[in-house]
Amino acid sequence: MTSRITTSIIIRPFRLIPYLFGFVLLTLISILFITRVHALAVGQALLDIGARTRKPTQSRTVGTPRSWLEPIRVALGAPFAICALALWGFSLHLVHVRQMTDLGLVSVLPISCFIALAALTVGFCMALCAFERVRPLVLLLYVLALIFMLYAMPTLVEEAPRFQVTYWLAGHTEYILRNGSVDPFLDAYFNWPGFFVLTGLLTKMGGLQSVLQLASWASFVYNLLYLAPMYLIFTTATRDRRIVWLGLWFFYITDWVWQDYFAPQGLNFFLYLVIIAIILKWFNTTPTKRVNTVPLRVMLKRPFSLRWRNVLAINDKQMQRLMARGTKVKGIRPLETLKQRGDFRRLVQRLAHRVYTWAALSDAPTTPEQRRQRIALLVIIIALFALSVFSHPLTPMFLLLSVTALTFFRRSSPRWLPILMALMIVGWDFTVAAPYIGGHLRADIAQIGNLRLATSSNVTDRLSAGSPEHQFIAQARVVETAAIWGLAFLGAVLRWRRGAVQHSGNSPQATESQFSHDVPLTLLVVAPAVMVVLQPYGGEMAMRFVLFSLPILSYFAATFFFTLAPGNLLSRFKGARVAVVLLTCLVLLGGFLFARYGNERADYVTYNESQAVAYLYSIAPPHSLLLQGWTGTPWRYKDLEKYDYFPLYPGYGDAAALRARFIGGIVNRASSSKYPAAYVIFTRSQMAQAQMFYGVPPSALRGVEQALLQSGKFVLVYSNADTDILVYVRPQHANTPASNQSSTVPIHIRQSRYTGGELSS
Amino acid sequence: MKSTSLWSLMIVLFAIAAGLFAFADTDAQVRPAVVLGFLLICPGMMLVRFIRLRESVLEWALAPALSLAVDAIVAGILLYAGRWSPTSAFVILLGLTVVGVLAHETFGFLTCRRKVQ
Repeated sequence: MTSRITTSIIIRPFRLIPYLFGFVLLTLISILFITRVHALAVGQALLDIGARTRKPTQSRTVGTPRSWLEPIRVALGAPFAICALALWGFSLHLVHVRQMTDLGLVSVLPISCFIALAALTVGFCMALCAFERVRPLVLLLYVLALIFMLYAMPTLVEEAPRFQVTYWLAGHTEYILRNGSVDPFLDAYFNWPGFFVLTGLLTKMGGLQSVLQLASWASFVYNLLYLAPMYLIFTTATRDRRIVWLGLWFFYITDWVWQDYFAPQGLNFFLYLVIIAIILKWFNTTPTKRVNTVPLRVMLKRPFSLRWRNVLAINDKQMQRLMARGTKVKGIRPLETLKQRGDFRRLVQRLAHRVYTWAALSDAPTTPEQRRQRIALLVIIIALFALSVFSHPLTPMFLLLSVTALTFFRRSSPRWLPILMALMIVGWDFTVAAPYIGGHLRADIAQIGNLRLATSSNVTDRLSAGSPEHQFIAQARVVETAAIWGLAFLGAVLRWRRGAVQHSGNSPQATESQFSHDVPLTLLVVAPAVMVVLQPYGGEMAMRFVLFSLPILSYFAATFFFTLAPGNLLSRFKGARVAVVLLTCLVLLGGFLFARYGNERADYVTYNESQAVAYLYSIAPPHSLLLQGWTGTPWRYKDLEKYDYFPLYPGYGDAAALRARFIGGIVNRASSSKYPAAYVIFTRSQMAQAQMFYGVPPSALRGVEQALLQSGKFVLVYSNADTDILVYVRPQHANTPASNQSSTVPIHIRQSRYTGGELSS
Repeated sequence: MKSTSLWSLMIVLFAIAAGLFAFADTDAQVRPAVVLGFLLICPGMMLVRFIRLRESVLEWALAPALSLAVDAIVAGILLYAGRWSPTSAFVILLGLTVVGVLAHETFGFLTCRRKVQ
């Protein structure tokens, strides 16, 4: 009684802290909006103190040491970030993941978490739009806080590293650490082992007990790494820092694709961003080089000629001038004549020619480079690409396509780079990765052009399968993607129109066509789409395409809010712009929480599950057969080559039908003489996956387990609140009472969900 | 002290600390942070300093990527050469980093002297 009273006195007030914090924050925001006094103004004023007292001659240059007051100034300039982080930190202990529904993490987040995220968004939008001067460090603080709050959240609230695939990939690293070699015939990933070699090195030298300790923080670290290269990419396209920071913000609140877990593709996306950033920053074409263009027919006739661009030395302006005069140039007639004569073939050629001419307009170089720097940067590109080829089969293809597109449209000056990249890919795939390529090349070629597979497996099928909440999550993902694509399209069109106005000479900045700078970014959206056609990858390529295009789409979406005409409402009133940007960010953030963490009930792993799997490995002799009721078991993180794994997938029907159809098959497989032992594991996450993704009721898997136990061929050897492990009993021991099996197989039953602990002694 | 020299000093100190923690085989809580920090930043930062990009954001974008590439390539060569040993890879990386920093400083010193003369 005393302890209960103590608990109520001590703990309850602590539980109120987040709500009090949220209330104070909301009140603060309301007062600020009502009185039109920005809290940031205080911080900005403090920031300006340093700037005013500084002598004009002492303008900050690169390499000048910062004042020690700078961090304090930044913190004062970002009060919302500090408050939001504190509130969010207090709120985390209110998250109870076990109460999660099929809506995912959102269903268990306390209201204070939402308030914290909203407050962070409010602060960012005000810091971005409400002041004349953009403070990069203040905005950086907001973005870092956002990355931590969004991407470190599962690690902080969940019990064990999430997602079953993480455990499987950790098994590859464990294999290398244990054997000091790779077996390319054992698993496809061993044909591209760079990531596992790297994580093995980090795990061993970092003194970590398991690579899973690294895996927990992978998502947060990856997203932190993406920040700098994305910033570089955006700064090559615009000088407006507001667009750059809003683009970064958009990326982080729309990246629901979940390719940033502990896997090679997360690392490779980082390499992709860095290589593209280097190319756009240092290897774009200089305006002094004249852009020669050529009709499509010449390109098609001599596709491999390196000199075909010079066949017709005529640029866009010259062409326009000649067309205005109606002059015929080597068989090329003006557009109007072609239209009149109905020569559609030539019309198409001319249109293609004009598209190429438009896309091949040169950009101003963003950074002057020396020859020495240029060579060094090329070596860096090759080193990074080598790691990419060494560690992942797909990302090098994305890189090759993107770099080829940039080179083809004269956005990248080392023209031999795509050829070198292609040679590196071919060299690796047909030598080191030959065991995989040799066995799968035919099947991979057969999938080329299968757009139905590309879209059905991960998009349309998900929309109509599983529980209603999961269908809602699948729809939220589509809507979130469509929203960012729509905003990006509007932004791109707006920039094109503004660029066209400026290019026509009506503006003082007529010398710089805005849209010509966006061409490389447009190419970077289009080029990855080719991969969806070339290789559906079981439907996952569409997701990869969404990821690889997302940074650029985020940039274009951000341009929508800052490329409006001067007389526009958003341009005239700062408050209107803040409100519109804030509303957009909040809507996208809300969608992100559903889209990214919507499958969390199936993906999170409990201590009980990981302990049960560890126990299974401790009792299963090598070469045993390990069966799982459904996918979703956090296993294969050790002794990858020592066991045979097999999922049961007991169909979609009810429990009675399942028993009749599958029990015999399971017993047949388990009784095979090639296995010294056979085990079946049923876990909480399996049931969640079956229910969420395929609409299979939990009773179906329970029915299978009951049927296995009732058949007398299996006995329960381990059970806790989330997991049951059954072992196959060989026929010679079948008549032996279950309790006597303990002499050969230890029984650990604490609290069985299905048998009520009837087998426990 | 110039920022370039300060960076070189920091890289060398980081390398020494990482080497101490790794080879003393301690269970210190900071060991993962120091060793992983070294492997994630220092080899790449040492190489990036040679290019003299003069912008911190550029260096911070390239350094982790280059570090991971160098780490993986060194460890991968050992793996395919049949000499897999994380410790050997770590020693090679430590050596490369320290030698690179010393070479950078020496090169910088000689360049300065030539300019003065």
